Amino acid sequence: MKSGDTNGGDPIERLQAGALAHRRPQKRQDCPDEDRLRLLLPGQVEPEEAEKLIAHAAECDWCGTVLRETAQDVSGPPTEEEERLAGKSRLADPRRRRELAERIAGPKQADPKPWFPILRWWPAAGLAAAALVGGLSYQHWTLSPAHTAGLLAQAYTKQRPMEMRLPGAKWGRQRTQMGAGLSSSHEPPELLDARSNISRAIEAHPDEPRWLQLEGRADLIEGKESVAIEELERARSLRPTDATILADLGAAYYQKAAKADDPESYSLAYQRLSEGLRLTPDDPTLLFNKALAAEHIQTPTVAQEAWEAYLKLDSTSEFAGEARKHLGDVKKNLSDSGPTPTTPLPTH
Amino acid sequence: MPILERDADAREAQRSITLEVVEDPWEPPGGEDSPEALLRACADLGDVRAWESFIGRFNPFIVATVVRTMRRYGLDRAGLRDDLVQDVYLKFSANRAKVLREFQPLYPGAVFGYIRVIAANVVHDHFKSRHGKHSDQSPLPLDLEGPNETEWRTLLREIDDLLKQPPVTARDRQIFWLYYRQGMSAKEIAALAIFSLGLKGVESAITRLNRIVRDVFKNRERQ
Repeated sequence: MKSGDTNGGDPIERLQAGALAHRRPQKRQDCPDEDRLRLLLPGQVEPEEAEKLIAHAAECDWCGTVLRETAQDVSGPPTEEEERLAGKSRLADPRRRRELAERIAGPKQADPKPWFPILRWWPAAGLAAAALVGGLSYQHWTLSPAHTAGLLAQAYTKQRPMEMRLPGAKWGRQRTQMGAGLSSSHEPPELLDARSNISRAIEAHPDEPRWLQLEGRADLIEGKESVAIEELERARSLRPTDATILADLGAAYYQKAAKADDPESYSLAYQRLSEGLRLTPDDPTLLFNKALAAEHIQTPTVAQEAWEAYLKLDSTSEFAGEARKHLGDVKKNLSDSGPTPTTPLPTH
Repeated sequence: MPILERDADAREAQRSITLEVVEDPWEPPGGEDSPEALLRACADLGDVRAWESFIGRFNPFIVATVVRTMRRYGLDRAGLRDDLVQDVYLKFSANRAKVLREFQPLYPGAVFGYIRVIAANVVHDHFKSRHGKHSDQSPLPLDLEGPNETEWRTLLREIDDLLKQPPVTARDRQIFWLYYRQGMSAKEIAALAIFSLGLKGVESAITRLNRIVRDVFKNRERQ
């Protein structure tokens, strides 16, 4: 009798009990690439390689586990819960499906051919290294706060949801009534991409003021001013001398005030924008927004001065066109209503 | 898992499984509506409508696979889930849809398995590249009655030596170990295209090998 028989009993039962107790799934140096291993399931590996992979997986606890888990993950129809999640997913919306399909197959795809004559002459090693570094750098860049801020600026410009300006955003025609925000079915893809970056970053760095600011800015674009204010106030408490945070915060208070016709929020908007201007006096976004806020706290002369200050800085852009119209209205109100404002400016 | 429970699993699987022994190479239907035809249309890129249909048709399967795979890493957030699903489609289209062009339709329904494996690979790659993380392995049970490790490993060697002898084939030996050591169910083994076996074929192999092992060990005890 050999040593494995010493305990007696059914060998199959002992085998199973031992497997439950002693299997040690640990990756080994000779383990194959797991992506290739998984391709065994739909039979997409050449027979010779497949034979080697299956022989390894049958004896390797790590690869056997990979194979077993993959078989569970890729077989069987979606459960009711999975169907429900698919129904709520981003691509359940036909418009989003269309957008993705256009992104993948649409005519805007860059044709790499013009680069071929250049690339062909690069040394192979240099090309590989450049591709690797470039790929990593690109990936890193697409997840960066700067890129995310750019995405939010593009989203704002595409479907400008409010009259207030956002730092770094170009002019866009205002699409919705002020304060209405964007409905989820009309969010531009840039906003979705930015959201994705923000949620990842916030999960990793919940107290990073830059990401908190971008989260607040995204909420502001979506018309969630109250949430935006909380996030932006938190960002401000962590970085009190950042004028861009104050610009966003001023815009958020302004939007809240506009929705609820709340004088106190107009006043807070004015305060935050004024604080920002003390830090960066020539910031056109802050000047523009402060002038807008000033109109609503019954200080037409201050509003007039703010619009005039803005137009000294920017007399040609499309924002300047809006500023001129506001200035004209303010002047008309002043001439209609006669003397001076009665409401004092808020103290800062 | 006790044998009785596993057999019950196998019986349950038998009721639902449709894959059977594949004797001849399978020719996919040529109709425009078949999933294989859709895959071919998308592999050319440039066809927005084909891609829209592709996403509409396969999205529930891709979401299901992404959800299951993410949960192996202890995560299931809607934002990340949507991002990963989108990454799957970008993977399909990358390098002029290399992944789609490489697909070989070997048996009915292989396209679904293929797409889902690619989806699983995207999720695993995401977690490995971002976090250097592997999926959580099942915790090892404590205080289980069974042989000590040395005895178990000796038993493994003895059974393996036995299974290397005729009439057991290499394929049967692999099935045996996938079932008894790696814990795969007969249904999961039948899903492996390399064996070209349906559920009944796998169960039959397991039963036959089980009998051989038991008989040999019983004879040794008598001696």
